Amino acid sequence: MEERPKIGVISCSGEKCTGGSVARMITRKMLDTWRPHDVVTICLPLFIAGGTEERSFAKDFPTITIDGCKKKCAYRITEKLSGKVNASVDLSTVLGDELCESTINQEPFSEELVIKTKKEVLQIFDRIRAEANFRELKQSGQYKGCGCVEEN
Amino acid sequence: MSNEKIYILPCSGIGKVYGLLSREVAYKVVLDLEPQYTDTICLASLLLEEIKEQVVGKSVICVDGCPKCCAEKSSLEAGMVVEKKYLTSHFVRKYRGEDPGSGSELTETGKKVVDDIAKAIQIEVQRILQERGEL
Repeated sequence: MEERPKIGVISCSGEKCTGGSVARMITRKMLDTWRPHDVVTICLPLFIAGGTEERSFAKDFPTITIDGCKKKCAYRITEKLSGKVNASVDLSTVLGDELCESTINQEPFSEELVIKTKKEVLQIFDRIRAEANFRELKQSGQYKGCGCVEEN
Repeated sequence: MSNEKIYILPCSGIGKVYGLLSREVAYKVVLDLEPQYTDTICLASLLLEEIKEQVVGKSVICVDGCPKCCAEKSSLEAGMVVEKKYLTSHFVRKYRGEDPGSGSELTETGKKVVDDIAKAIQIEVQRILQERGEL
């Protein structure tokens, strides 16, 4: 099977608010079921605790950040410590500020919230995926400026 | 007497079960065991300057999933006072041969590990409160 470049997905995983848990679950869904062969992730705080290898993540992979609220911690920290991201998702624009910033409580977490965001997240992911494939093709010299691809 | 809540800060590592264990431990302590005396905060937000100002000098108990100790290092970076740190991977050893779950979901064994760590943290919280004269 052809090895395709993987896409990095980094979530804020915020502990205090609902949006952070949704962001974390989306990233896990991407890894486990939605796009299991195309995704890599990294723990966000590793940009502080880790070394050069961890910090080069956003340079090594086309990267999407997923934030649970409008503070956009994942986006800001990744851009500050690792590199420019290719796209960012702010869940408060999909689910609303009130819900995203609500404090985690003892109610069972609803997976419905994750499903609500699926379409938007996958659209962005697939666009970044297509751009990465295209870049790869151009770099390999196989792209001929039209729909044709030269086989090796 | 400070009457300030003690922060319980998990690493919430996303790749393996150890990070999920840390997250669930924090919720167990903050929501079930010691809601009056503990709270949590988004770990990622500690790296933002505007949040650092709010937490500098505050007490925190860190729950990390691996020896990279992201929660502890981020707390120290933010100027918090690390009262105690726990590694979830150490507690999993007690259940050698059993599966604690994955980064997405815990098994019954994983839930037992959460209970073990949460109880250890509860004892630590009470110790800190006694030292402060709040119990």
